[in-house]
Amino acid sequence: MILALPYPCTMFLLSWLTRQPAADTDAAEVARARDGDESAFEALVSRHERTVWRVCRRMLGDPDAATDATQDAFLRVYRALGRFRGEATFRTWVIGIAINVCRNHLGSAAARLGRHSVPLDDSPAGGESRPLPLPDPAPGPEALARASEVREALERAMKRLAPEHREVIVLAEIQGMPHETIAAAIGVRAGTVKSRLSRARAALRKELEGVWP
Amino acid sequence: MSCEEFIRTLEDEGAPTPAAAEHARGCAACRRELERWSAVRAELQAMRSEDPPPFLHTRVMAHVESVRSSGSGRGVLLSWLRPAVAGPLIVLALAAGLGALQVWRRASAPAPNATRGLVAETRPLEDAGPDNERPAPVAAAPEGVAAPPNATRVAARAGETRAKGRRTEAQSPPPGAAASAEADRALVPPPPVAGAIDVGHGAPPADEIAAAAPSRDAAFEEISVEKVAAAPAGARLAARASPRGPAPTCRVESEDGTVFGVVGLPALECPPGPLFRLITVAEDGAMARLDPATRAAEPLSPSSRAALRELRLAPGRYRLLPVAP
Repeated sequence: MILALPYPCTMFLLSWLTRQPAADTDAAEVARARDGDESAFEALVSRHERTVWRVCRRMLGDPDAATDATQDAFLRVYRALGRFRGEATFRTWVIGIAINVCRNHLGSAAARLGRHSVPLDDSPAGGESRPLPLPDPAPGPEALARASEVREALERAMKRLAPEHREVIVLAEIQGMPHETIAAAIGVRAGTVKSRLSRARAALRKELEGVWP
Repeated sequence: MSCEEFIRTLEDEGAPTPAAAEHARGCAACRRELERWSAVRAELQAMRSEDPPPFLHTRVMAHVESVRSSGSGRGVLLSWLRPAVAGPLIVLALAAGLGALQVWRRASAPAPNATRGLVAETRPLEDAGPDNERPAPVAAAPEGVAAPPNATRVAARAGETRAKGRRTEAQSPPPGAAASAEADRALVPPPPVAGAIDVGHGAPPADEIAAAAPSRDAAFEEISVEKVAAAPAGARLAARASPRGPAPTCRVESEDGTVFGVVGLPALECPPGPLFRLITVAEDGAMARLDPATRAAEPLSPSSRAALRELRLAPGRYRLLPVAP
C-alpha cells in the first residue's frame, strides 16, 4: 500500500516509521538521565554525537572546532536536561543546542575580526594574499582530482555563506531534516526556514558561479 | 515557465517540480543549471558521511565529567532547585560570603605588611559557560617570593575548590554557619601535620593562602601534589599527609578496550561513576593524566604512578575506569 503512494509521501512515511523507535528510545534514556542515571546520558551522547559533530563541522568549517563545539553542546545538554520538555524530539533539541553553540563560536570569531559575517575560508579577506598551495605533482585519476576540486569549491562556498544561511543548508541539504524539524531546532517558524533556505540556495549558487562546472 | 521561474523554483524547492523539469527538457541553459545544482546537492549529501574523530566520545564525556565533578555542572538532579529555591540560596550564600570576607578583612587588618604585596587576580574556570560561577579572587605571590610556574593554574584550582565549598554550603543548612566556620578555619594556620606547607617567613605567600582552605576534596589534594612538584627554590615544601579515603578499584585499559589490569588508585585519578579518565605513558615511562577539560598533561600522584608501574604499560594512552570494589 505504501508503495502505491507518491514518492515523497512514501519517503516521509518510511522516515517517520523508522524514526519512531529512536525517538522512543531517546525518551526512555532522557527520563533515566534526568533521574541521575549517568549511563543513560552517555547512551544519549553515543547516539547523537556523530550528528552533532557533523552539524558543527559544517557550521564551523573545521574538524577541531567542531569537536570543541560538540563538547560544549553536550555539556549544555547535560546542564539543561532538566528543562527538556519533550516538545520536540531529543535529537532536534540537541541539534538546536549545537547550532546555538556554533552561533556563539562564529559570533566570537566575528567579534574578534570586527565584522558580522565570518569568512572561515582559508584565503584572507584583507587583500593580503597567501601563497596558494602547489598542486600535488603525484599523478592521480582525473575524476578523483576533479571530485576533490569540486568538494573544496563547495566547502569554500559554504564557509562564505552567512551563518543563518549556512545553518539551514547544513540542516536541510546535508542532514536532510524537514523544514518543521529545522524550525523547531533553530527556533523560527517553518515558513521562515523555507524562505531562508531559498535565499541560502541562491547565495550558494552565486558563490559557486565560475568555480563549479 | 520562464528561465527565471525555473531558477526560483530550484531555489525554493531544492529540486525541480514536474513543470520545472519539463522546462529544463526544452532549455539547454536551464538543463545545465539543473545538472549543476544536482551535482551540488549530491556533494552536499556526501558531506553527511564524514566521520568524526575516533576520540570524540571520550572527549565529550570527559568534558562533561570534568565539569560535573568540579561541581559547576549544575547536574540534572539539581535542576528542580533553580526556579524556587536557587534564588534564596544564592542570596544566603552571598550574605555568608560577605560575612566571611568581613571576618577575613578584620583578621588581616593588624598585619598590613603581610598583604601589601598581594595583588588580587581572578581567572574564570576553564570551559565555564556563562552560567558558571567564577572562582573566588585568589591572591598572587607577593614580591620577593618566586611563584611556581603553574601558580596560576594552582590558584585557579584553589578558587574552584573554594567555589565548590560555597556551593556546598549553599545547599546544606545553615549556610551562614558553614561559611563562618570555613572563614574561621581559613584564619587559623593549618595544624602541624606531617608535611604541612611552610614557605619561608614573613608574609604568607599566595600558595599558602590558597592552601589554607580545608582539604576535604580531591582538588585540594591535587594542589598539594602539584606544589611539591613545582616548588620554588628556597621554599621548604614537603608532602602533606593525605587524608584520602579508601582507594577505589580501577581498571586500566587501552583505548581499544584491551584490559591491562585492575589497580587501586585514589579517587582523584579514578573517580567513581560511569566515566573514565585518560592517562599517557611516554617512551621514557613517564606518566601523566590528561585534564579532561584542557587536555593538558598533569602529574599523577606518586601512589598512582607506583600502582600503574606495576602494570608495565607500554607507551600510549590508557583509560582508567572505576569498577565496583
